[in-house]
Amino acid sequence: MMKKHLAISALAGWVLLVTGFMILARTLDLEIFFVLWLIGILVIVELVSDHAATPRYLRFQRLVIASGVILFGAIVARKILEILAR
Amino acid sequence: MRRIPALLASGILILACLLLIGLQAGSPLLYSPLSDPGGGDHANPAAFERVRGDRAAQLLPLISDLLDSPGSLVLNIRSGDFEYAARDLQEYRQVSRNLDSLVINLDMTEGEITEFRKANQQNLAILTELFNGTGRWNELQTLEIRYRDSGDSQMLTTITYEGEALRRRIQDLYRDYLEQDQVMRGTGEKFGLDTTGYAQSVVDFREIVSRIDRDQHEKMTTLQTTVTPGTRPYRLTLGIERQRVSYLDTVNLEGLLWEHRKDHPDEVDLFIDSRKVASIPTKPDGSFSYSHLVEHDRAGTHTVFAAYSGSVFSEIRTFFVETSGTSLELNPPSLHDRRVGFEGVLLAGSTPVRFAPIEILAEGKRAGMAHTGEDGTFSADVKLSPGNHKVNAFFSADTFPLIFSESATFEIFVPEPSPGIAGEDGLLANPLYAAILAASLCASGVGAFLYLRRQRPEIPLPSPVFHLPGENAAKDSDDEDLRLSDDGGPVAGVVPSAGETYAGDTELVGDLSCLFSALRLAVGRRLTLLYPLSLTPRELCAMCRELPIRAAVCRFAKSYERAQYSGVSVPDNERDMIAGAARSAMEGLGGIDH
Amino acid sequence: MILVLFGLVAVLSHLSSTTLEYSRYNPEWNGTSRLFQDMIERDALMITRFHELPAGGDSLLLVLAPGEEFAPDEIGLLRSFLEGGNTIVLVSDQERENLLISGLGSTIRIHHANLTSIDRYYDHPSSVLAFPAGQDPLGAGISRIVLNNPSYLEGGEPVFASSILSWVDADGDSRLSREETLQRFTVIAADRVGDGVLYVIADPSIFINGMREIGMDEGNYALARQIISARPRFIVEQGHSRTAHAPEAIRVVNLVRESTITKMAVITLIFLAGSILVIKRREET
Repeated sequence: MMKKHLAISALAGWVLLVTGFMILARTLDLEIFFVLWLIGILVIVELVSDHAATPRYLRFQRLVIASGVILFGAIVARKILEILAR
Repeated sequence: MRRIPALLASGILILACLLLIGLQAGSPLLYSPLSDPGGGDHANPAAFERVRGDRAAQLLPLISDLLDSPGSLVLNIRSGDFEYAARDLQEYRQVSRNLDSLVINLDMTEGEITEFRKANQQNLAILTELFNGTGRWNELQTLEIRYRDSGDSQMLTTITYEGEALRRRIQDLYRDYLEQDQVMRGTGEKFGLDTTGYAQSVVDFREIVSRIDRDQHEKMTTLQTTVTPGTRPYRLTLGIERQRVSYLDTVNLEGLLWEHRKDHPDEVDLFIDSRKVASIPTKPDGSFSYSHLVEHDRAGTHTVFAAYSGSVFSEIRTFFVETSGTSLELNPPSLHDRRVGFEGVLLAGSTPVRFAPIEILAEGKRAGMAHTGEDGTFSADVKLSPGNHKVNAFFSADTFPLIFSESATFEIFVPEPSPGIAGEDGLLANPLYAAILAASLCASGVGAFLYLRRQRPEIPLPSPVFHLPGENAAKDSDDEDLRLSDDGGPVAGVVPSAGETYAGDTELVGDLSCLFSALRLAVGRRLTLLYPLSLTPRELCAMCRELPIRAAVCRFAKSYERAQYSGVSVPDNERDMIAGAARSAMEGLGGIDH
Repeated sequence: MILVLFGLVAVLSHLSSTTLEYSRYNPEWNGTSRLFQDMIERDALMITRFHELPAGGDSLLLVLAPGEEFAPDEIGLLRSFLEGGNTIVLVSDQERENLLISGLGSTIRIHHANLTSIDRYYDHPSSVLAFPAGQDPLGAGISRIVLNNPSYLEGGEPVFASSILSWVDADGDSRLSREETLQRFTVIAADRVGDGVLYVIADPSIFINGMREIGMDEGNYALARQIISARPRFIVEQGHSRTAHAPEAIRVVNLVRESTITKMAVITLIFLAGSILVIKRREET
């Protein structure tokens, strides 16, 4: 139970940190925010899950991360196209 | 019960968040200073960058330098210090170039500064030509002395003629230089700069011109006295049909070579501005004619003379090229696929201007180039950044006897190219873009799949602290199985091996666990379980609920647990019962197995 | 718990601020919240009607970005205030204020125009630099100020002027065109009226938050400080000024926030909550 709460608050803290820096930089960009969130959740899930066993509440997270990776690919493609179209 | 509303509420919140994010997905940039540029009162300073370097502070010193440079340059030319003059000219050119780049940097391609810049460019051209011209003039002076000493009257005539052309050219230059005076001095005075250097340069220039005038006049009179036409066997005359011409007019030059031999066609060289332009064969009667097309001749006076075999000269004739105005017509630009097509025509009066460079300007900055064709038309395809543009065409008339001209300005809107990924036509129409999109999506899909299927590195199990009998059983489970089912001896095959390691009270416990291990293994094999060793007695019982031996296994499990974990020694009768249960379970399994 | 606190702070700051241009409750780049923070620290007197103007000749009245016209009786009050030896600083780029200025007996005139210059701070035509001109004490010790889309002034004694490389960009293409001439333009002018001095500043934007963040060494901040402390008493007009513009709710929230009683209540509450937490922890162990 402790581990689960720790993971959630770590992720929340990370996201708040990212938001805070974005506000300081006066630029709110969903794309950057999404990528940083993805990195955060990847690291946290890796740290939380043991080598031998993955807690049940993380099963679903792996699917979320997988779809996040696909979305990330889409963002990269979009950026490349933007640069090409310039 | 209390969890359901909480789940419901968080579910709704998550959906709402996803919806809000989804609404923004099209333009993921939520806020940046650039998206909040401010209204009419003020602009958001956070959106701008600091000006690099103090560009404005460079401008006035630069203008001051440009006003001073001609002063020392002309003075050096006047006093004949050509080495210093060359250095001055080099510096002057450099400073002028600095001003050009600064004017472009400061976005001041129109207006007063540009007037100044144009005047200065003219001055630079004028002074360069003055430098070259006076250099040649001085050369002619030395040559004249040499030819006069050697009595070579032919060469003396040649250089005197060249000197005459040079004199007229330098006079023209002086006139041009005076034309820039007002702009140059006016700008300088406006910015509170010292213009005495520039004023002095005008005085010095006039000095140079009058000195050359004087010298040339002297030479012409000596030439006429020393070289008399009567002593010559041949005489050459030259005439010009029109004295004043303009762009694309032809200057018809006609002449006659007197007393030439009929059987032998001669060649006459024609010089315009002391430069040989043609060698013309004479007709049988000795006449010759040449048509000069005025195209890249500068405006002003040009000198012409003819020479025969380097010794017979015609008199010097002049013609005057007038500047004519031009009109640059630009058709409304057409837009196709982010490129803007420009078409138009450049005319000087009603004559089309051929092979002239046309600049396409967007917001006054050069965006593209075009050249006019034979008929004066031009067309260009220019790529412009998205947004509104004020475009026009410009003809700068650098090498033409024409006045620069500018077309009307058109406003054109170049649409933003459609970025985004949501299957626009333009996006998928371009195979490259589609390929990039597909490749990226495939790569990320593979990445996601690999992430899901990734096997974490196997960590070797910690080696057991002591050797459990069950593991022994696992190693030779095959023969154990057989023995158990064949002779029906309850623990016969296992007990000795366990008995060897454990003694006393533990022997019984060892017995029982051996039994349990064997049974568990057998059931595991029967049900093809992956990890039978991890089953507890109760789980074993639960696993067997589909099998006929369920009752026996469960009975065994229950008694085994009691015997194993109660902490008291097991009475004999109970031990028998456990063994019996195990045996019957094994028999049940064995029966089906074999 | 922490998240809830975060949320509360966010909601409170949202409720107590606005995005109206020049508003003192606007902490964004186009507000004047930081200028007013300074003024409040200097115990500035905020007045909404000119009847409240104090007698005596030792005050400076700042009229920053008026949003509406002044009534004739108000102009009369202001004029007698000015002639009594006080100083008025009028900050506006609207020609509407010429009525007020002439009513005060000054010859300064505001010309609403798109003044731009090669001497810039940011790489944008709006960001014009102005330099001190003349010997007025207001410009003492300030090397330059940064303007933001300024207008220009005529008449009076120039205090700050743009450089000679400035022009009025009439056609709005932000480039020097053929008809546009380079010239020095006055952006801050002073005029003596009676015993008092009227200053007119042709660009209210120099006092917005975004322009102040340009840096402590820049003149904008120094100029604001100089104005605040020029005379013994500093008065800020809040009846017409756009700096006072804000929705009513925000005013109420700010009134509550700024009053001493609420501050004390909040501090007490925080201490109470803290001590309760500590006591609970003690009981648990």
